[in-house]
Amino acid sequence: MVTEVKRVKLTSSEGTEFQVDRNVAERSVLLKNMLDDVGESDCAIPLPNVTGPILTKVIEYCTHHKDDPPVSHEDEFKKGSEDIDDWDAEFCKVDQGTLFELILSANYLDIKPLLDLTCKTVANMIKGKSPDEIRRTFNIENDFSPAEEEQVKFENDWCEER
Amino acid sequence: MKKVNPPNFKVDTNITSEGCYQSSSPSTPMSASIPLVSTKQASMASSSKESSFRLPTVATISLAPTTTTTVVTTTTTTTTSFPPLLLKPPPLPKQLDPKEYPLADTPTPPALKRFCFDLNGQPAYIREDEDSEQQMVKLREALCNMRASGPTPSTSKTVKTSVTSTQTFNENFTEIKPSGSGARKRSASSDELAFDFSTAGQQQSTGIGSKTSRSRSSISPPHKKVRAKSASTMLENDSELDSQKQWMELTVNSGISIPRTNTPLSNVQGESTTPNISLLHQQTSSSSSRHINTISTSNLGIDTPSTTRSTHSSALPSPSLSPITGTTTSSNTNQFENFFAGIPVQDDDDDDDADVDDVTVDESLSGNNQENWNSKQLDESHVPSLWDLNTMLATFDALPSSMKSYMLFQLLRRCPTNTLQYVSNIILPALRKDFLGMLPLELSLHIVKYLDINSMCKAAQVNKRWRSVIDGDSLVWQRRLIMDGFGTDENEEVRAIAENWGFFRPIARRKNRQSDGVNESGTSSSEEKTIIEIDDDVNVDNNMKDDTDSMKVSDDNIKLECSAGSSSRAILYQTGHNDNNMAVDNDNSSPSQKNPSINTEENNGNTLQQGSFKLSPTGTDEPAGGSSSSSFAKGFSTIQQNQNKGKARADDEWARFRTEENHQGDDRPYDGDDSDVDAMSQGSCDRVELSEDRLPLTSSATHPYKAIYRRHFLMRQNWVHGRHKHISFPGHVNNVVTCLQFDSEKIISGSDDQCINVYETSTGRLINRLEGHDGGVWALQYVDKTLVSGSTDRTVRVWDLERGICTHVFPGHTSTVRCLQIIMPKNINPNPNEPPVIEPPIPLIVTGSRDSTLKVWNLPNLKTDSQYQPTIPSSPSDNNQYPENPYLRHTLVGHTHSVRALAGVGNTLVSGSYDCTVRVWNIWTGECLWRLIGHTQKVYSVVLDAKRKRCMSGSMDGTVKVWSLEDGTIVWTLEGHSSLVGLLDLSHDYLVSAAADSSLRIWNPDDGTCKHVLTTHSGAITCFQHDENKVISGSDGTLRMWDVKTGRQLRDLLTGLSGVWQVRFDERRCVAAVQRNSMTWFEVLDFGVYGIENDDGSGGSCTDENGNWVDRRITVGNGGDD
Repeated sequence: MVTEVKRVKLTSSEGTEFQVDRNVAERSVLLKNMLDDVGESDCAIPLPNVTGPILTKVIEYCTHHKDDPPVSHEDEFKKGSEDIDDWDAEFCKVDQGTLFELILSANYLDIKPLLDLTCKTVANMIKGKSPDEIRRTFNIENDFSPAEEEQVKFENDWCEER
Repeated sequence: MKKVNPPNFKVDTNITSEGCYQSSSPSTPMSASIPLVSTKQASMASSSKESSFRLPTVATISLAPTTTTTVVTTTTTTTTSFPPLLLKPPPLPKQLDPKEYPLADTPTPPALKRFCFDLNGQPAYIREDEDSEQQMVKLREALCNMRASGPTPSTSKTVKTSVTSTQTFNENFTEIKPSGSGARKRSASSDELAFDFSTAGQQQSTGIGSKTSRSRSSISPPHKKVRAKSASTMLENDSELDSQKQWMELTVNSGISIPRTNTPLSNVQGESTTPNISLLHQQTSSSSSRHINTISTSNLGIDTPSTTRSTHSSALPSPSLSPITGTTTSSNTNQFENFFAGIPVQDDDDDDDADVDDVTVDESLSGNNQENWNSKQLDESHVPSLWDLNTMLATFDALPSSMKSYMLFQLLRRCPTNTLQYVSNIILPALRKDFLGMLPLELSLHIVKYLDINSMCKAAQVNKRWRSVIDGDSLVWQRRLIMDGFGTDENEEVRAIAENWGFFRPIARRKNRQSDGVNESGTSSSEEKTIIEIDDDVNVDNNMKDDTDSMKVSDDNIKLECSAGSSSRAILYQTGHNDNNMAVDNDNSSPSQKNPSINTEENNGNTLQQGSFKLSPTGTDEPAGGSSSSSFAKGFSTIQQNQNKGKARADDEWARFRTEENHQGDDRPYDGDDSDVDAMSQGSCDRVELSEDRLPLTSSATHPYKAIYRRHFLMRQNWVHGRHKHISFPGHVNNVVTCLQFDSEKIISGSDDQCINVYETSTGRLINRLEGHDGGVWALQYVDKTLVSGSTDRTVRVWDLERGICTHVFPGHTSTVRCLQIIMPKNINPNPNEPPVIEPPIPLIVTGSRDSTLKVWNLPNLKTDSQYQPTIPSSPSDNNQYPENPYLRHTLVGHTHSVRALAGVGNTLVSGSYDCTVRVWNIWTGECLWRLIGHTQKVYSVVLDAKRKRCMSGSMDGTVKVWSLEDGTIVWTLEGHSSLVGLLDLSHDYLVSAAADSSLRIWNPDDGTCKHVLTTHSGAITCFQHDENKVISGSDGTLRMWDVKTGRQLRDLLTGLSGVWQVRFDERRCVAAVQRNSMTWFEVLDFGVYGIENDDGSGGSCTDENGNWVDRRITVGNGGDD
């Protein structure tokens, strides 16, 4: 039996409609469950939490990974944050705002590999940086008083190689 | 009608300006007639250039649902589909450095090629043509045709729109006139602005009759940079809102006026003048939008808004305006619709000749004249007016976001590098996200999970939010413990809280020596056979006991006596976050504690106030300890209020901890009940002023796992760097130490002198000496408080370590008991998801003897079993005369020579014998499973590899053999050693063998390969142990540490010895029994001090004045040892 590829319509928050193959959409556990529950329908699935540009990125990811074998979340975690293949790394070369939205969307859509990927990417942005470098990287204000900063430094400086 | 401004054809050499742009500002609309030809030419020229280097962007706007027509750019008829947007490419002359405009050639991103936006509730689509070049050709053709045919009426629908627009127009129209004055005012302001740009203006100003025109010209854009600035300045300058508004109105009006123009050219022309003029009008009308575009492109519209409408119209041939923007202009009030409506109108206007196409030309708006348009829409230049900026921004504001993206992209294409950099510098920081601060906590933690420890600690210093996210979650830290190989232990949580790991600040250096409180009270239950003598460096504080009572009463001191600590020294720690003592008497939580004691109650009083931390005491260990333990847990998590009530110790800033190892949590044989007799006297401590009275931040963690991690981490680092506290003490006189086992509480050694000694690990104090064997002790092992030993006296003895007595004696073997193992019930099912398989059902003892048998015994339960001490047979032959030992389960018979080694897991036991064979037994049934034959010499060592269902044996024949437990065959013979392989161990996936050939070998148990050979010892290896990081081996006079992963020699832990009898280590300590100067000594290397425990400056100090680590050996005398 040849199963013809079903198309699924998705609507982003601003109303733009996207058509994707069902197996692409099903990378999202949320969508998979919805599709399984609803069955075939021509109605577009509204995704009010996902903007068009982000949905475009998500679909790009899901399309590229549509044939991936299932990977357990735990295994993915054990691979560590350094283990990102080239395509994924390129995919994550986006501004922080987009990355931020991707994390939220991956979580909302329940796409664990994408969530892992994006979180790893952020982790890699943190790694190897001093607190001040981290602040600059993410435009964060230091709200410690000098005394507090001293304390916090003490709380954490044991991990320095010494 | 005013003067006609001859178009300025002078081409700016400026990079930014294209030829068409530079065409001078057109004259005032009505009066001025621009020489068509010249314009044409210019436009043509430029167009040709353009086509040669850059393709314009062609996009189509359409309203989707209502429109039946296709979105194709050429569609002209339907109202809903708009004429194609012709977006000129960035006007970059060839000679310009393309690097200056990095985005100029960037194709439209796919996301912007097609998008949808909401146009007054109606979905509108924009689609950019794939092949813009082709589209251009089509457009041109269409234009030509139109021209030839003359103006064609727009479709009915368009008519409609035009009607509406006209209506608006009419209204506006009326308005317009009054606004004229405002416009003039504007012009004045524009003049001011013009001042800034005067240079440019000078260049451009060709004959401009009207003031307005002058102003425009003066304002006319210089280089892009300048323009950009001017634009901004202009905006700023426009302080007068009113004028702006008026201006806006004007533009709106003009935009609306467009419809008028919509009327067939003839009309327009008739009204105004020549079609050219009409074009000008159109420009004005659309000017705002156009201007925007132009500005965006390169030329910031510097046109002076001041000009009257007419000026507007005529004024600006804008080079590359996108019609869309132009139309939108009017939409100050979000009248996007109007804007669009305007477009068709414009179309009409623009080209009476051309229809919709012309409209598309609107973009061409830039090139205002029909002629230009006709010749090439693209080329047409529009002299931007500075005042267009307002309109432009208003227009932009009115755009839907998707359209904004699109237009911005077009703008960016026109920006030089430095502008882009500037923009980037503005945008990028704005787009930065405080991920951990803004994401939901669970997602933040998901990020934190991927951080290494160093990054976690760095990130925790970023700000308060990050600190709380990272430090606050216990699961993250538990996971990190596991990931980094430290593992987790339930008891550690209790200990960490009790001992305040990592939550204290190191005590400031004490000026006076702090008494190193040796716990004198610790031996309540067992007679203290020896008086502890400690070197001068260590003082026994006689005041301790005096203070004890008062301490108990003092509610200011919450006494923490945890049973977990490794040292019995009383140590003062500064509690981390409070100015209070946090001392919790852990004994209160133990069932053995007589008195839950005042302390506990006081604790509750003091600490219950903030009880966020929940600790579940391990029920088995501390069944009665719930309340108190929770109380101290609460105390841990909170800042206790120091209720300084003026009592003597109220000012005590220090919590005192007496730490004692709580091995299993239940029994504390050496402390008994008087653990509350804490060692320290407050008075003996010189109080040290706190460097900080109070820490500014409370703990962000409600769990101790960061502290636990810290402790493990520091210990590992101390091993790496060799920072240990070294205590050494004599024992067993000069006899061989045959066996050694220790934990953080006690060291137990068996010796040829028939004694078993029990030392306190932290001090080396002899706690107990277990006497009873009539021969040398050759094997021992303890589990919890139960010690089993085997001796040359042929007996097996069971000792109660808590009471220090022998409770059971098992005769039976007819020769020396050479090896033994306690085998505890254990789940041997490797799959944790399946039901556990517990083997053996009850704890067993297996002993191997020189009588060539093994015996399996039930392990006595010291708490329930009565003592069993039959008369020991005087000779082996008398054995049978005694009643059967109820503890004996099996005698494993089969070996034909001494049983030298054994190893068991579950019901499976492996034994190696001097008969050169290895046997595999089921100790529960007593049957022999395999007889493994292969070694050619005595077997000295065996290990069991339950994970791989194999066993290994080391033999005097120099080989290590790996056997299959499943079929009894040899898997591998590991060759390399040249003599007796006396020692063998398997753990952490490393198989290590040690031989008399003075080498150790590290094997891979998975494939039998030899990974490393450790060769620098000069004598037979007498003992070793390894874990996942290191191997510590003893030989000759050296105790040496190796890197198990690399085989590299790390350092010598001990040197100058006569021999090393035994060595054992755990995470914190390394304990070796050595021979030094013909005497037997114990050496305890404690790697858990530096950075972990307070260096109190007492005799045990391991740091010098500067805080640097000093490796100093502290000799402790054991007076009673003899």
